[in-house]
Amino acid sequence: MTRRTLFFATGLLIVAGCSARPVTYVTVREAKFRTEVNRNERLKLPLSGESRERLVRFFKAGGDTDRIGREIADPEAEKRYSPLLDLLSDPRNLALEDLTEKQTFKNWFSKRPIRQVVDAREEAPPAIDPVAVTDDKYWWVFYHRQKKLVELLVFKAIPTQMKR
Amino acid sequence: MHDRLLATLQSVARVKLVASLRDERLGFANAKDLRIFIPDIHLISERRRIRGGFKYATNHTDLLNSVVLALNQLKADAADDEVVEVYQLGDFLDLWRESDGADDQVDVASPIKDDHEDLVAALMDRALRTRFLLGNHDFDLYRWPDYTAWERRYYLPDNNAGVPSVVLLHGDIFDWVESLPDAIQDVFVYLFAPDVTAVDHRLGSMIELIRQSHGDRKYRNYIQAEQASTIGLVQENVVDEVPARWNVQTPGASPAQNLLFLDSAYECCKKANEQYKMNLKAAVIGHTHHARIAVREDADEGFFALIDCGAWIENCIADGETSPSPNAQIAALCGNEARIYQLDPG
Repeated sequence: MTRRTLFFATGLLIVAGCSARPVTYVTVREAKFRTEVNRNERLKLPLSGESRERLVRFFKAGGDTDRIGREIADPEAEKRYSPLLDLLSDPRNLALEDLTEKQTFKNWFSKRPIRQVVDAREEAPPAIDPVAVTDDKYWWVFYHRQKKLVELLVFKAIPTQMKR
Repeated sequence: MHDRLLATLQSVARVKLVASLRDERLGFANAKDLRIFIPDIHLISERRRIRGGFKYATNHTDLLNSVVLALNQLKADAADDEVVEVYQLGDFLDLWRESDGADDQVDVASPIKDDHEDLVAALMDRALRTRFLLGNHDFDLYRWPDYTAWERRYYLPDNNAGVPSVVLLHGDIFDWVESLPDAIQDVFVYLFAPDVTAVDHRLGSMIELIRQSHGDRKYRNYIQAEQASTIGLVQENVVDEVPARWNVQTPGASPAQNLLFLDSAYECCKKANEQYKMNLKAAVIGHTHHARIAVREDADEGFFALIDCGAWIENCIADGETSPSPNAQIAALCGNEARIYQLDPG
């Protein structure tokens, strides 16, 4: 690295470090892009056979519930997500720390979990923050009690890299 | 309503009276309007407490949880024409100790809440509708979506005059009145002006001041009080018939540490009364971890009260006691009467 490049790189880092950066949060999408319409339909963990099937149908439809049973938007979905759904069907993988520290699901969720989830269906922000992670195609929002992952909401992600 | 609150607290704890003040000049006359104040809690995660080597952690979290659940029932049982509101006076979550200085991209609060789920869920229960103030140890929360409703101050109205008569603040501003006088004007406007919204600029100035006043302190050995704070003569049997004045601290009669912030609070409220046409007669604060009621009766309008509600961390010691007790205080205001209680597990 030349001295000039180093100078500019250092300058950029200083500017980035001094700027106030917006905090990261996740907003829950519209009903047709979610695995649930209402909260009482939320997927329970560990996943049952029926819950797995619901999820696979949702993924095959590309996360658009209008298409479930009518079109296959993502033929590879079942193959891609089956190992993850296996993990989520086993209570031994469902401690809060499996998401936040142990990285049990790192093959799918490589980025830092986000704890701020804005869900306008709720009366108020949650007392105990859920954990939102993404595999870039979907947001997976895990709800926990007493440090056990107990419920799951999945919704279609909005691609961040797409030019708009 | 004070008696019902007392009975509620006695249903879950041994209750001693720290201080009381019944005075028509308090400016909060409605006997059917009970405001309950929970001071500094300073929660941190258990892992952080151990790794950080902190001498003090939150006192009696199980008791506090029981108190909050009981307050929720008290609120539910209130008549239609009664008001029961609960305020947490700031420093609920101690982000500063949790993270050695808050990283603006890391949600430091969530792991703390994960470790104290029952207490957090009780205090944030929608039925209780607790109002939260931002303290100097959790001010960074203002940046996150979950906490946008948390405030820098609340005004309570004088029902007779129709203007604010009581202000609820965390209380750290009064530190700066003395230590950072040049910076105080912006903060004063931000905290007291009724028509100033919490815009980024002011919040940013505030967080800079807070960071400046923290300096490089890690708070490993103590936060506010290296020694147990002195809370005067505290007796369990006094609650049988609460006197109109008990342990009220006054200039000339009380030691200087018991009058901390009284003059600063009085000056700020006097200035706010002049600039914003208010009638502030009392300030309710936390921050110092020193439960007490201090009064100035020589002031221009004859009366000003500082109601410092104490804390749920560090210790206090009462007159005649040989060993300190963990701070565990609840305060309340109703019908021109303020009370502060010390709680112990039954």
